Amino acid sequence: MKRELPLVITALAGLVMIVEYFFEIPGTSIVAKEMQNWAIIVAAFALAVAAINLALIHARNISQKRPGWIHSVFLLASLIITTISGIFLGMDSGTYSFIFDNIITPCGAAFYAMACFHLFSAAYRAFRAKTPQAAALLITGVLVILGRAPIADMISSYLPSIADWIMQVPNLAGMRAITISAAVGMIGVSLRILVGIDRTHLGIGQE
Amino acid sequence: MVSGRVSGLIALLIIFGTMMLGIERAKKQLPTIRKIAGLEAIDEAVGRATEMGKPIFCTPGWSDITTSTAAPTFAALDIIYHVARLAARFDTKIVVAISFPNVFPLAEQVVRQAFMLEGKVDAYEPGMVVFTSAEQYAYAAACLGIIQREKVAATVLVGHFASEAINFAEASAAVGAISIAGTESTTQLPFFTAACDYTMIGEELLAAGAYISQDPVRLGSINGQDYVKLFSFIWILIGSLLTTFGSVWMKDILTR
Repeated sequence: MKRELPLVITALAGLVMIVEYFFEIPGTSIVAKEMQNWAIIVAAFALAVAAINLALIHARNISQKRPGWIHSVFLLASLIITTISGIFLGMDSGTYSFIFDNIITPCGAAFYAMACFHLFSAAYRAFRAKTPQAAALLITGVLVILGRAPIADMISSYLPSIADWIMQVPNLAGMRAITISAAVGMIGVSLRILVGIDRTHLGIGQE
Repeated sequence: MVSGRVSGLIALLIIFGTMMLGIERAKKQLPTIRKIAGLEAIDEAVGRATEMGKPIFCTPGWSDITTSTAAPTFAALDIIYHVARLAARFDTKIVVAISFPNVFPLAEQVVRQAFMLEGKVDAYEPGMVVFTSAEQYAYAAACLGIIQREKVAATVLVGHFASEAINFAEASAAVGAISIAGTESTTQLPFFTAACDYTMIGEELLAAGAYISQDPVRLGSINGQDYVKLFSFIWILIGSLLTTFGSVWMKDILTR
């Protein structure tokens, strides 16, 4: 029963959502909407479970004085302050807005900016023409970088057109091939989950 | 029937029917599936981590199971299950970082089950699966922190990723970890391909569960999917030719 029940619930929920999407049967949209509301409630419980896990792990770090335990102090303090300000003062309150506008947003922006440096270090390691494929990557990479740079026209008037052609023809064709095959794969995974063939996520893995 | 979705339903039924046919065929003769380098490398990565006495870092990406990117997340959990079983078998530490709360209980269940099946249920610790944050860069910062602090020997970055992908790949390289990545996200694939040791491209990630399990039913469904791709290729070819010669027949059919 412990094994079958989640599979039956998954199949029924999936079937209702598919029927609601494709057919105009009276009542199905109400059932589907109700199920989506349940999903939100379940997600709220999942958030509570996850938050407790986070708090427990970091509380343990502090109590056992593990290396870097001071970071756990900051994390727990931030978690408590943000939760309290959000629940009791509201998400429109000055305190909550201050946390969001002056801590979360600039930290996120700073992290995003780091991607620029990581891109260059990755390019430096990848653009080593040791194999024909790596050489092709190097040549196309350099052409696209130069073609898209403001200096491109000064080097050659053909460079921007070459870069555009690489992006619009071979690159786009490859991307579309991957997208189509991944889409078929995603439908396949979804159908396998609905009919109970894929069930590792339920803890019913292969023996 | 909802207008404009008839062709979608027919396509879904064709895919389902083809998968079922593939499964029936697989019961008679097991289909062969080509080697996926990224999955083959998992044994090497776990072996390396075991030899070095360092942990393995895994993450199923920045994606929820209630969105259109649910399928890669489920596929990622399949791979993490495999990594966790190997880690349990060789007494190697594993850390799984989760972004969305809905994925957390599933990942915990998967890792615990893997340890249980290896007879190492006592070795399982709740801290092995860590919830970080659904906020993209908080999740990314937490993962980078784990990779740097734990000096992991291997990273398994599978699932749906956004701009944090390159940061993960470079953090892995910075600590000298062997990195195995896999995503369906075409915008992040170039970064993984350039910066990681092994990359599973698109459908390879989604076929991983079947590949690892070697289960005839799952392999059969993958075989069925291949026929769907062949059918899609022929359909695109016909559509391209018809559109080139000015016919809107294909467009009419697909928008019904």
